[in-house]
Amino acid sequence: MTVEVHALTRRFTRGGPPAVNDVSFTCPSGGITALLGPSGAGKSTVLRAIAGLEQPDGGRVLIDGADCAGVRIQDRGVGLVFQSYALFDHLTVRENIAFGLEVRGRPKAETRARVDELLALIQLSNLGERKPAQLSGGQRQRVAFARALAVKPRVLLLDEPFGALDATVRVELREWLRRLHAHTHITTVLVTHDQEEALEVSDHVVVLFDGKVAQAGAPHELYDRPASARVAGFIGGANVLSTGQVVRPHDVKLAKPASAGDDVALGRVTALRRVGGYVKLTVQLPSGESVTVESPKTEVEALGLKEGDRVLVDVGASQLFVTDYAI
Amino acid sequence: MRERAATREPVWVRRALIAAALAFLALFLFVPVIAVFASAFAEGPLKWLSAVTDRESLSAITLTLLTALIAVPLNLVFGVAAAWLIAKFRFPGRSVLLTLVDLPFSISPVIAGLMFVMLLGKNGPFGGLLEAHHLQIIFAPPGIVIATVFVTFPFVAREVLPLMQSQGNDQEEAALTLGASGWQTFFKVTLPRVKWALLYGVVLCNARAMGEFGAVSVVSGHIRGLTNTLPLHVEILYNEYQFTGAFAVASLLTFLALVTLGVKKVVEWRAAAT
Amino acid sequence: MRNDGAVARRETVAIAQKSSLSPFLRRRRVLPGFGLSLAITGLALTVVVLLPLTGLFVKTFSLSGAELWEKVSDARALAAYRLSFGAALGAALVNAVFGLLVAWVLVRYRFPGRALIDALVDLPFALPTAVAGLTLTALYAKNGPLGRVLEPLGVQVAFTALGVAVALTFVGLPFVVRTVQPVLEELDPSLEEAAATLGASRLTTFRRVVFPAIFPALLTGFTLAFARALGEYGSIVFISGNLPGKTEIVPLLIVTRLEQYDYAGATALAVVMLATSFVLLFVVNVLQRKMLVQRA
Repeated sequence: MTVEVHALTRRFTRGGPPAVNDVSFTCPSGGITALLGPSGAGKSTVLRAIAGLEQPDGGRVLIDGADCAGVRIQDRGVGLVFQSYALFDHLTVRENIAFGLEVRGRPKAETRARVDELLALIQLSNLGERKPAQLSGGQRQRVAFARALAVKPRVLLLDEPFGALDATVRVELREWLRRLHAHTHITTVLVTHDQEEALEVSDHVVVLFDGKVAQAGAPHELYDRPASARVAGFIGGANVLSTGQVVRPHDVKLAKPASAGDDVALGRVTALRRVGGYVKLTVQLPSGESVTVESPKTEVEALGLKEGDRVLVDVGASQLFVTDYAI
Repeated sequence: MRERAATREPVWVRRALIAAALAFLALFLFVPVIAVFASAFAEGPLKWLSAVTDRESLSAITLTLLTALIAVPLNLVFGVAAAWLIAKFRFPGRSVLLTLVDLPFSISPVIAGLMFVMLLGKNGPFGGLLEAHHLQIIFAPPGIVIATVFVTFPFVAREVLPLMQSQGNDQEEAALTLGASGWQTFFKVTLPRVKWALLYGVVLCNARAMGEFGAVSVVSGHIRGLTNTLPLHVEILYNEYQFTGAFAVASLLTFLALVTLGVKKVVEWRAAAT
Repeated sequence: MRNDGAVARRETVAIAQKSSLSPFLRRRRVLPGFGLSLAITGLALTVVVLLPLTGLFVKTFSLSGAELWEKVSDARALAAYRLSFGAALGAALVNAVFGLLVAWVLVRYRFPGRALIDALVDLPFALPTAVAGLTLTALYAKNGPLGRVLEPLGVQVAFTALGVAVALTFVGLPFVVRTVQPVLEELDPSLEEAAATLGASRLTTFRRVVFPAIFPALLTGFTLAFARALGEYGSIVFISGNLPGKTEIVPLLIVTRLEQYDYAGATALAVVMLATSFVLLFVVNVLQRKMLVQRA
């Protein structure tokens, strides 16, 4: 069940810049595709267009090879988990999950069995009679998943599903989502601004900047071979030097100079901060520009570095690529 | 509100302010309401009963109920449609529409009545047409209904619209993606979420429909037993120096007003609970 | 159910195709019911509001300028304007002062009966104006419970301009309370705490911090109460005594002229009042927009 988006364009203001500009990509069947980008990049608009909640100004959406133009939202067979969850606050958890089955007129017994099954899946069997307002954020999130899955959609669409949650809950739910997906194998499109989430959860990543596709590929491809300095900077962070070199902070090698003299060809550590097992350093290069460097704590301790120290900086060996334009 | 030292006045200041506020409200609200009931029952419950059940009072009650029975459902349908339109969609002319919906509130009831007399009366543009078909609207019950629809026009929309707007479209969109039709979405998702505001709008609309005086007075022609609503009947009794009778009928309307306020309180509690 | 949805959608498309307003109307909307709700709202507004209003203005334009001027500026009309505007202004001012007080007391203080009083503030919205007029007149008549007290002091309320102002105060009472109350509730108490830590007295804090914050709401409430008072008719019929030139308000003069079959005279006055209402409505809109900006 692939989802294909072809040359999708959507403008919100007449004559203004398009929020989504000629976006094309394909979501592989049975996988999780992440739409990754900063806020305002047009990710949610693309997702809503797949669901039928946005009418594009141009382009097509194909689900399982069939053009969705003119297909009603109700008939698209998509399950959408909203960023706000959009749980029906006047209905109980059970009634929320049963909603899609009820409006389709499924037999009561079948509906009840399916709701029980889903409540077990999201581990909320004992909270079925609660109203959404009586649940925690993570629980609401899971109810939203169950409601979307109840009607057995062909495609599952997730709009920043973990955006409103605490960092710890977010990490737990990521793992839960991977397990859930392994269980259902439903083609899933995930919108997120969190590169870590995208890299960890998805099989395929589409990076959007300013309403355009910047790069698409497997997570490791994006990390190892970013198509531009901006993609490199967005995924994993990167230093872009005036020479056009692009280097990841943990790929910069530092070494103590042989002599402790005040050699102007050396870099100078201007800031140094412990972050867990790593040390984040800001090093001023002889050219005057600063690079961010991440080194394991043990390495920095072995070098005995502190603020103001002179260091040898090696960026050349590990650069990702040399851009042919300056930023 | 939580008591905070810096936002608290000395006790004597507080007591003085509370006393002043209560005195003002007592003079303008409580005393008049109590006076209605005191005067209505001044000559005993039997006199009250005979005053509200005499032939003319009963015909006024009938016309008042009939008017509300027509005006309220019409405005219910209109109010919900207008709220849905303005809350759920963006389109050119939306803000003009919003102003127009509210307009009857800013027009004096007397002028509202006058407008319908000019439009539908003998000398109006539709006067000849109506007369040819022997349709009497002005100075007849239909005129009273039309004038009432006008003055109660915004009530339902006004209560429902802000709530619908603040609720956004997320849950409706969720219902659509789950396969619900337009009507299913409306009846299963939108309506249950605004029902309390809707109820209050209806009750308020009903109170005004039954209590409207100015507009109805202008279009009624003051024909006893035919175009007499409860508020008009109060005036007639008053002009005939039947004060107990006037207050007896007024007590019915006051009771209605108090019920309306009670419903409002319940709705507010409900809204706060969800 | 499905079919109904389809009908509504077809209507949307039909209306959108007919309309050349903008390409935005032609865009198929995601939520259903645009066409249906537009049709109902449009039809109702046209029949109930626009048509009668247009009728009134057309009638006015059929009068000659001189005739119109005479109708709106004769001595009786001028006296009615004076009373209507004067009494409405007085009532709105009283309501501004006491409405602010009531709102303050209801929001800031806890005392027995507060919830009941809070509910009863809306009474003038729910009570038919004829009832208000009837009971106020009985209270303030020479032999009434309040009139008896005021009579020896030389104060007459019923059947005087003062009585008109009293009735208008009653009908406009909830407006200031209900516009100021929510703003006062939302006012961040740390503002006042900040003022206190900076050495401001309680009165100075109110004057310099609280009052400016609620002033737009107060002005809105005042304007609404004033507009409402200008159009009031039901209660005044009872309490004013309706003496031409003395206790006759504009709506009453309109009715009198209508009963004398002076349609032109009634319409001319109505247009003056309508124009005033629209100006006030505009003022309220501007004020409310300002309040929104301020809160955001």
